[in-house]
Amino acid sequence: MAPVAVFQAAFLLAWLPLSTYQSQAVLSEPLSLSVHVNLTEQSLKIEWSVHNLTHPELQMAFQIEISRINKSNVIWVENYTTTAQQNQTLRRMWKSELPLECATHFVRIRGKDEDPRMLQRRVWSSWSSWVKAEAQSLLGPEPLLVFPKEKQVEEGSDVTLCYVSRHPQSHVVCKLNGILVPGEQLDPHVSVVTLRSISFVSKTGSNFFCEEDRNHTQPGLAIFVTKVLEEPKGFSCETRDLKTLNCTWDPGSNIDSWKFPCQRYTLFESFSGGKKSCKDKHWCSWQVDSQETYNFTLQAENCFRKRNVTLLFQLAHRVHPMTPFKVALKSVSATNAILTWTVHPLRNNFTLLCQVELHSEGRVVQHNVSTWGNGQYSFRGLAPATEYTARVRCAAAQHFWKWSKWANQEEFSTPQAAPSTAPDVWRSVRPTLGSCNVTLFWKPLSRAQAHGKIQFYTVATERLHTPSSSQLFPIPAPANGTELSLDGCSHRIRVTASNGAGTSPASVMVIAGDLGDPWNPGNQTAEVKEERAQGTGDGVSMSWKPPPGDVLGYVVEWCDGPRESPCDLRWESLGPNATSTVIKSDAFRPGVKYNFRIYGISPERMAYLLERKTGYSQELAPADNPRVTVNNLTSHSFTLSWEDYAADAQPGFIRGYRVHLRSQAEQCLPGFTKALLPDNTACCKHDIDNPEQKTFLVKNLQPESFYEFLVTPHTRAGEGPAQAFTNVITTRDQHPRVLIRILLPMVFPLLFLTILCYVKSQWIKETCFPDIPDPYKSSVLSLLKPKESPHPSIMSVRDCVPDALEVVNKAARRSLAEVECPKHDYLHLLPTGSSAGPGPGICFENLTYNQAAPGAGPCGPSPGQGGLLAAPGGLLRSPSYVNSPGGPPAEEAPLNYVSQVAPPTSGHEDSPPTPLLELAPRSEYRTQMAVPPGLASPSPEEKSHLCAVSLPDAGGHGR
Amino acid sequence: MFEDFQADSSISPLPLLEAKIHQTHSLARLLTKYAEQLFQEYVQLQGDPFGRPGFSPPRPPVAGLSAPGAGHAGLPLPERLRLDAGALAALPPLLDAVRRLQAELNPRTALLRRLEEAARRARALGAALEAVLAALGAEPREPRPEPAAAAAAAAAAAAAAAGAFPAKLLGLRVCGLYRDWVSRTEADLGQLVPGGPA
Repeated sequence: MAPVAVFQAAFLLAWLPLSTYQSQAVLSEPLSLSVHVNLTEQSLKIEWSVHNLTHPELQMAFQIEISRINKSNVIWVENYTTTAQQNQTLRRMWKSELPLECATHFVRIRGKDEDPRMLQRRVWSSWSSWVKAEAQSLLGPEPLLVFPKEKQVEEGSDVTLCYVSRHPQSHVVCKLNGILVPGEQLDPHVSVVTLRSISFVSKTGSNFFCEEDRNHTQPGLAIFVTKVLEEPKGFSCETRDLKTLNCTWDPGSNIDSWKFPCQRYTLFESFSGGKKSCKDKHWCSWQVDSQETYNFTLQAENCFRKRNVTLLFQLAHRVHPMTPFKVALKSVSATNAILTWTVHPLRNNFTLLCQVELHSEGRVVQHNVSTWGNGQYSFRGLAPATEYTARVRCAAAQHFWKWSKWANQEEFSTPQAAPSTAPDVWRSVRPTLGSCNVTLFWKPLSRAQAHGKIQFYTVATERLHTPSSSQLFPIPAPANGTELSLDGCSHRIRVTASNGAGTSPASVMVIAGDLGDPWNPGNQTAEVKEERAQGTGDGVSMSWKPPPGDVLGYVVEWCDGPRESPCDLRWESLGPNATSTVIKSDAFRPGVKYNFRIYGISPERMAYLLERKTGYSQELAPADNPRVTVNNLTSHSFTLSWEDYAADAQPGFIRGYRVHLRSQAEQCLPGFTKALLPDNTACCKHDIDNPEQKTFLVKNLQPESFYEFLVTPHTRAGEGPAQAFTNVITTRDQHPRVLIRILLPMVFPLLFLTILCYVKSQWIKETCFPDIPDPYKSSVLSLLKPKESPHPSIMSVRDCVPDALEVVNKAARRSLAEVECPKHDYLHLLPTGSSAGPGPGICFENLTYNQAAPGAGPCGPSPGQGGLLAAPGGLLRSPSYVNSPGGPPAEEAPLNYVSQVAPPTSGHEDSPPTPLLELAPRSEYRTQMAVPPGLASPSPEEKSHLCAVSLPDAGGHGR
Repeated sequence: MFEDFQADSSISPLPLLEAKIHQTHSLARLLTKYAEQLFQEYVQLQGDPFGRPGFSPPRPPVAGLSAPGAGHAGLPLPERLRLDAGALAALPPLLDAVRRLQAELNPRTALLRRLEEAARRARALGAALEAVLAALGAEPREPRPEPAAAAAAAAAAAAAAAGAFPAKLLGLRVCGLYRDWVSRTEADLGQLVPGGPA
């Protein structure tokens, strides 16, 4: 078994390499690898050659590795496929971002067969040895070096720079355009600076430099930044002679650096396959042959990129003719002229459209003419004596592309002709004794009317009734009027204007001072009322009624100045159909009133005043307010007056007035409304719409109150100025004094009468309406007297015998007495002379018992009354039979007898009858007896405690 | 020798020589103003940091032409004038070299014309100074225009090869030397002008 096993192993060992050789084409490593450093381009030039190829040419793939600083730091791997030949040197270029002076690079390569003819598996060869690419050995002895030496980049790109310092401990600072930029240390001697998105600063480049603190060296480099290439704009081609095409474009803001200008433009034509490098960055020319259609591509290119624009067009559509020449004028008359010109020849029958332009006095007239050779155009209807300028330009008629430039303009003048229009003439007539001073005015003819320079005017006058007496007055130009003193005011006047070529038609007017208005006989100027005209801002608008008859026209006359200034007469002539006009004048000023006269021109060419107008071109607000006086000041009103206000002197028609009133009251007076002043203060206002009203009564005011007022006029343009208010205080009210003066004299007599009546009231009462009739005083007695009865119905005291007493409950009576009796709540059987108070009963005095004092009533307050009642309030008191406890014995005083028959009544007739009183148990009854006068008043104790009233029942007592 | 001439001139006036000195001094004064304008225009066109006051790169000798030394004022006047004349003879090729360098960096600018004028004026001033020196009897400076031109060309070529920044630095240095030497010449000639500084 062992030999077999050994054999098998030996066989396998022998077969495996063979099988491997048959299935894989193992390439030997590339030989002769070399690397060259190109510091100018900062690139490595890698060269190698391949030997031992199985075929003369073989498709091969190569892989290149590049390391930086050390071999393990691979920074780049590139696969490259090409057809290799035996012993051929292959090359690749690798550009380094990092300046090669700042780091050592290593390169190695390997390859493999990629030829499709080879059936074996493709396997990479082994790597070549590392080849070192070192530029640092080329550096000089300077202590600080900056790399690369210079750099060209596109704006916005990143730039990697580096510096090498011989002294690792030194401090290096780098700046770009003066701005500090940090560095990143690559090794102890080398640092890398990366500038991100660098900007264009100037064509001369951006300066990057470094400073080392150790030796103050300042190495640096200039970075040339190129703007990003833009696509050409406005690419266009055209031909002027159908022989050469000129293509133009706008390159945009493509800014090359001055050091490395690499911008260029190339024109390609696809149909012909032609190509042309353009010498200019804005335009390029192209020779035209028989080709009619072109498809151009313009390629813009710089060091970093390319841009293309295309243009497809027909040649005949891009014809821009050259400027016509030999422009001339011929056969120039007063109204006609012929313009001729020559064009540069194009192809046969190539029609041009030429534009002829005629300038005169700011006006331009254009005419189009089609031509294929020399052209001409006839101007007609030219104005005589006028300077003209003519010019011409041409374009392709069939396919318009562009006008040529204008040919040199030709100037010419037409000759003069006679003036075409009669002068516009007006007059001012001042009759004097036996003659008439006429001032004529005329307006200079316009250029279109004069047809040349007016040399003189001719004024011809003739008397109306003697035409043979004509006079001529030549007046040299440029006069615009003349003054004539005519014999009488009835003349016909003709005015003509003459230039070098002839005379104008005549302007005719008739002056007839003694003739009346042909349409309104008897109408006089003074009778024409002045009416208002409406201002339009820049003029005055007016209208008038046409006269009943025929008119040749109208004339509006005015003075071009304020009323006060000397009249600068102006007029405007209007046609016969005009009934309104707007008079405009540069002399019109806002706020100035102007007067206008409207004349009608009769068929006999006489002017008659039709209407008078006055107005403002633009009304203004009143310049001042009226001076207002206060009249008739009372407690409730006052009158404002501004009679002397000159409304006509204002810069507008016064349309009314506004009365402003301010007071402490919140509410406005009747007729006033609330308003805001320009200073936003509130007030009350009243508008007066009648401009003729110049007084105003302010009424319904409060006496002794403070008011402020302001009167402002207003025109169409606005109100008068907001000036200070005027104060006024109403007077005191006069009514109380008047009343006192009237009423006081009336009060005193009335008071006197009242007192008199009061004093005599008892007498009047007793006389007129006594409460208790006295039978003896009754008027009935007078009726009974005739019967002479011996016993009239008067009861005799002697017939009355007291025989019974009835005691009533005193307590029950007490409560009543407290209510009914104010103070003297008891009754006296006999009143005293001085203190007899009113009693609740009725006392009858039996005069037969009081002989000693017949005049003293028992109830009356004074003995002089002599009546039945002591007081008016005591008339209804019930009689009392209570005696004073301390009273003297009856036999010691004169007696008064009080009857008990009188019924008890209250103080008022309507009051219910007082209930019968009962004597209290403590009441002491005393028999009725005579009481001496003056002792009947109760004691003070009784006054306070006793109000016992004994009111016997009428029936009971009567029994 | 020149001191002797001064003594002689006080004894026997030479109006022609005085006029020549005066004219040369006026020319030097005018060129001093122009040289300052040229320097300012140059630094403005080179971009930052050339226009900054604090920017002062090293000033190595350029093509054998150094700045007026600190001891220049202490030298005898004829020697100073001879140094001035030598510097003025070396400056035109340097200015021409700078102009060529600037033609790449700042074409189509007025700086090129000013550099050309500066070279011509330096030659004129140098010639006038040589004439004054000859009139004064001073030993003539050894003519060496070709070596100066070759040195200037070499300096320009080296600067151009080193890059745009060194080329700018070279121009800055040459313009500065031109300003300094013209100013120095004006000051030295001023000592010859009657009434000028002794």
